[in-house]
This record gives sequence, structure tokens and C-alpha cells, in this order.
Amino acid sequence: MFGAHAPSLRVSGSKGMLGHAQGAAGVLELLVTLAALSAGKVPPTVRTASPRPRAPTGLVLDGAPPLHAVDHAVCTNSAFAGANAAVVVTTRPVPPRPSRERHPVHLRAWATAFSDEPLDLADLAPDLDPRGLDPMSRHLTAAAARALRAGDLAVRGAARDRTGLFVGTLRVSPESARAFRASIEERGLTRLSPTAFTRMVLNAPAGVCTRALGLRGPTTTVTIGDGSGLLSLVLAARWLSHRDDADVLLAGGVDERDADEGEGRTGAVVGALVRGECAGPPVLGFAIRGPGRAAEAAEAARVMAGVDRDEALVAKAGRRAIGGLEALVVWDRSRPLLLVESSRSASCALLLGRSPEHG
Amino acid sequence: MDDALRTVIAQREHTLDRLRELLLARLSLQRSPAEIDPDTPLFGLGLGLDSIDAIELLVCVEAEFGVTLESAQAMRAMRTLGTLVDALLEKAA
Repeated sequence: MFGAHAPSLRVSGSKGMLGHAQGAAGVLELLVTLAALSAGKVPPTVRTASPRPRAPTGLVLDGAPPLHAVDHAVCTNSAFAGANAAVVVTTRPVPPRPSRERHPVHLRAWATAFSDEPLDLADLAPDLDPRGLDPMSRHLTAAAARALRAGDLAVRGAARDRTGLFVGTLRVSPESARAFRASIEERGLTRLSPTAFTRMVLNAPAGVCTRALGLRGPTTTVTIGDGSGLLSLVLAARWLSHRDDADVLLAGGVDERDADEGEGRTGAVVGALVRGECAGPPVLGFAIRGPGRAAEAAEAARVMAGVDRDEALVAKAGRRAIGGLEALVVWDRSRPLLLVESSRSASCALLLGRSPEHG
Repeated sequence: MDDALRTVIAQREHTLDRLRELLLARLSLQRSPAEIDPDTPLFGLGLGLDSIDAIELLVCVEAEFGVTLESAQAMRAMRTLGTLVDALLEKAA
């Protein structure tokens, strides 16, 4: 990727010094990067005296930090379930980006997967690695594959890099959590199951699904409590509307209910959002606001869409991650649909236009 | 074949079977035991295990056989099921 510059790049890792800060690891790494830029020093990779074979040649090993004027740095994080991120920081002034037209975005298709019906995963996702699949991963993968199929969207070749997945969820899979705890009870803390451990992250189902369907585009998993699935749709719509690095984003929510606790059925609802003109209802407006500000979010989405008050049907999100998204299933598309959610940590709204066939 | 050799072979087979069982039960490998050849590499194109599976297998083996493999030892042992059996028998000897 860096071509002829690769040998001269200084490479450093902070985990040996700071340990793994779990969800805060990325921010911590970014702080280290910013400190390195402002100090003009590259921190050493402590506890690394000799590099492994094929390690980068510019690895800064244990020892005194070399003085090194750094203008730009790439801060990368690679995490379980294929959650990889990179941030570029620079000391140089950056010209403001020209504001661009928003791209049109359509909800090409959507699909559900519930535990009281057969999943047909072997047919929907033949490449799925069947090992260690919890109900959350299975249902998310089934709903995502069905949404692609319903939208006639084939994910092959270069399209893989431009097709991504945004997921809203409330918690890790109860089934995997149980397997994790059982491994500790059985073998002790020092010998807990590492494969179960990797499923103790919220984005584990998204990782399974993206691998199974060959999606290599943008991915994230968000949680705000009830209505997390709607937030993931809003974020995906905003991403496609403002950026150029993806064409299709699958987005929705998944809930694994604990059958042992009598919580009801497990389910996933996933929509396929497509950038550019295509069939399916257009995403006309969307907004995110703070907690308890659903009315403001709804108003902002309505104004952005240019839809009159009282023209749209309003569906308030219900309980759970997929709460509210079920309204898609019964919507007859003769009037615009405004999906609104207010949870304890965020409010959001998404306004879908009528389908073209309703003129 | 003398008795000593027969004992060694029986021990190897027994250890191999226990390892196959571990792989199927703990790593949920979707294969029949007969398909898991002692000479197939555990990682990469062989059984397709990854680095997380490697640690899983190691902690399972340690718990099941009551042994602790040092890291360099484990690296050598974890090439194939055959090399893992060798390491375990050596440890038990």
C-alpha cells in the first residue's frame, strides 16, 4: 500500500505498554498518536526486543523513543469479528472539503428472520462457517442474505468492497454468554474458552454475517437500547448519502431472546440501502438528536424530506433492537413512513417516501 | 511386533482419538473423526483453524491431559495432530 515508502515508515504499537483497553483501545491509541505527533517522537513498542519474521522493517523496538519529525500518522485498530478502523492525523493544515451534493439513497428491499420459522441458512449463505454460530449470528445472516436476494443484489468481485453492514443490537448473544461462563466454571479463569471470548463483543454477529456473505465494505455495530436497529439504518443512510466509498449498506437490528428465560422469539430485520437511483422507497430524510428529543429528530427528518406535517404515517419504535422496524413489513407504501425512536441515549428518525408505483 | 511397540502404538491411537474428540466437541469441526488425519496441518489449508482456535485447542488439551505446554513447545507441537500427540506422549513419559 505504501510502495517504495514502506521501508522508511516508523511503526509502533502501544498495547505492550498500556494493555488492552477493550472498547476504549482505539481512543487510547489515537491519544498516543496525537501525543507522538506533538512531541515529535515515535514511542517504542515496549516488550518487543526483536521483530517477528515479516514484521514491518520500520518497527520501533524497545528502547529510547527516537526523535523523529512526524507530519502524518495512520492510527489503525484491528479487532475481533473484523472490526478494523484507521484514522489519519496530520500536523499540516487541511483545506476544508468542498461541500457536495447529497447522493440519493433508496431502501431497495428489506427482510426478516424469526426463530419460529425455518432459516434455510445452507441455501441462503452456503459459505457460512457453521462453527460457533449463536442464534443472533444465524438470524442476522439469514435476514441480511434475504434482503440481498429480495433486492436482487449480487455481491461478487469488486462489489464486495463496496457493500457493508450496519447492525443495531442490545447485548451479546445470551447463548454465547452462557457458553463463555460455562467454560470458566469448567476450566477456570486462566483456561476460559478463547473462541467464546471472541463472541463476547457486540459486533460478533456482524463479523459472522460479513464473512458469510463476503461483505468487505464499511461495518459497524451500534447500541442505544430499544430502537438500535433504526439508528443503524439512519447511520447507513447518512453514510451512503454523504460518502463515496460504498454502494450498498445492509442495515437493521437483531435481538436474541433467551428461550430459557421465556423471552420470546429471536429475530432480525435488515434493510438494503442503495446509493443512487433505483427501485424501492427513497430515503428522503433522517436525523439523530440527543436523548428524549425524538420530536426534534422527527421534525428535522420531515423538513429535510420536504414532506408536509400529517402527510406521513408515523411509526414509533417499540421495545428491543428491532423495535419499530416491523412497521416496514405492514407498510403499504401509499403514504410516506416516518420511523421515530427515542431511547435513553439517543433519538433518531428516518423518513421513507412513497414508492414510485404509487405515483 | 513386540509388546513394547504394541503398547506405544495403542497409546498413540488412544491419544489421537481423545484429540479428535476434543476438536469435534470443543472446536465444533464439521467433519467425521475419520476425516481428521494425523498429518493434516491444523492451520491454513489443512483443518483451517485460526489463531483463536489454536489457543482454544491448547487450553482444552491442557485441561484434558493435565499438562502445561511452554510456548515454544506449544508452537512446535501445534503443527499437526501427529506432532501434538508426540508432544503429549513425550510430556507423559
